[in-house]
Amino acid sequence: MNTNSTQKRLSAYVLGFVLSLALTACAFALVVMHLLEPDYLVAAILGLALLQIFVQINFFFHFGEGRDGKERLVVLCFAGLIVVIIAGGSLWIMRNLNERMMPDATGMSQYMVEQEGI
Amino acid sequence: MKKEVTAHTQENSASYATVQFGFWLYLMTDLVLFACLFATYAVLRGNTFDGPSGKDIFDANYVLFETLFLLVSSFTAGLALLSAYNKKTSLLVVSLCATFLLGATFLGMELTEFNKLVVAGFGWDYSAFLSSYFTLVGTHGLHIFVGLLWLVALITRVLTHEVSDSLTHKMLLWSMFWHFLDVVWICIFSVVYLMGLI
Repeated sequence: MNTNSTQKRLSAYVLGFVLSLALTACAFALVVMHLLEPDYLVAAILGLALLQIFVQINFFFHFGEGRDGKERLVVLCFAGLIVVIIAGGSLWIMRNLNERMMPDATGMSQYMVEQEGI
Repeated sequence: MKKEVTAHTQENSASYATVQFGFWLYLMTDLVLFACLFATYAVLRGNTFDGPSGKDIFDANYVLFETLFLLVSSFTAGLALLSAYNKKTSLLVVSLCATFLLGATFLGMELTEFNKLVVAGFGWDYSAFLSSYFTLVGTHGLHIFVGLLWLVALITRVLTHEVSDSLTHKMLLWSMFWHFLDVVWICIFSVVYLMGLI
């Protein structure tokens, strides 16, 4: 490996490392100092995590360099699709199920009044 | 004779590329495994059975240090790969040992955290939340343990053999594994710990 590409790789590692540190610090500070409302906080944390995943894949895995870079990207996208279906789908279904199966105390007594006339 | 050697090298590098692509495929299936555990955790995180929730048991600063150790170890893993490419053996040994120490510290901190919970009576059998928490974080820890064993094998190899193409190939596979675990940990840090602390 020549000096030029070594230099390029080293600066990619340093840049990726510094960016990762900065993003981690941002997410941590947001949570510890309660800088946002909880709903926005969740969105901000997820956004920062996605950004950091992108940074690490970009700077640490050296995507474009291999001759099968394109195939790797295709596999990554497919795995990403499966991840979204599994994680998002589970949350969606289970939340729905919870809503239908477990009414709160007032909902339950209302239901009993309607059904049984108690 | 020379022709034969060239052909052999070409054949080698082609098979290296195939193995690297296959290893990438394995990593992506591992990603799906983690996605299943994440989905389980996300569904069950509220089911605490009147026991502790994430907010009660997570220590923000402790987890931040764990994260920093793993992040730095990912960086030193990159340095190790780079010095393997450039055949700088002493730098390679130093960065591999640094990566090992950082990774081992991370694993030690995680096991200490687990031990504290179990001793306090809040083991994996206490609530659905704790079961999913121990499974998700524990599976990551198990991967880190395997990565550390692999690293010990690599260090032994570097100390006893010359740095060859076959070694840099092995180093590349291991560094992909290690960076992948770092990415998974970022997800755990964000989804389990930070969101648990809100």
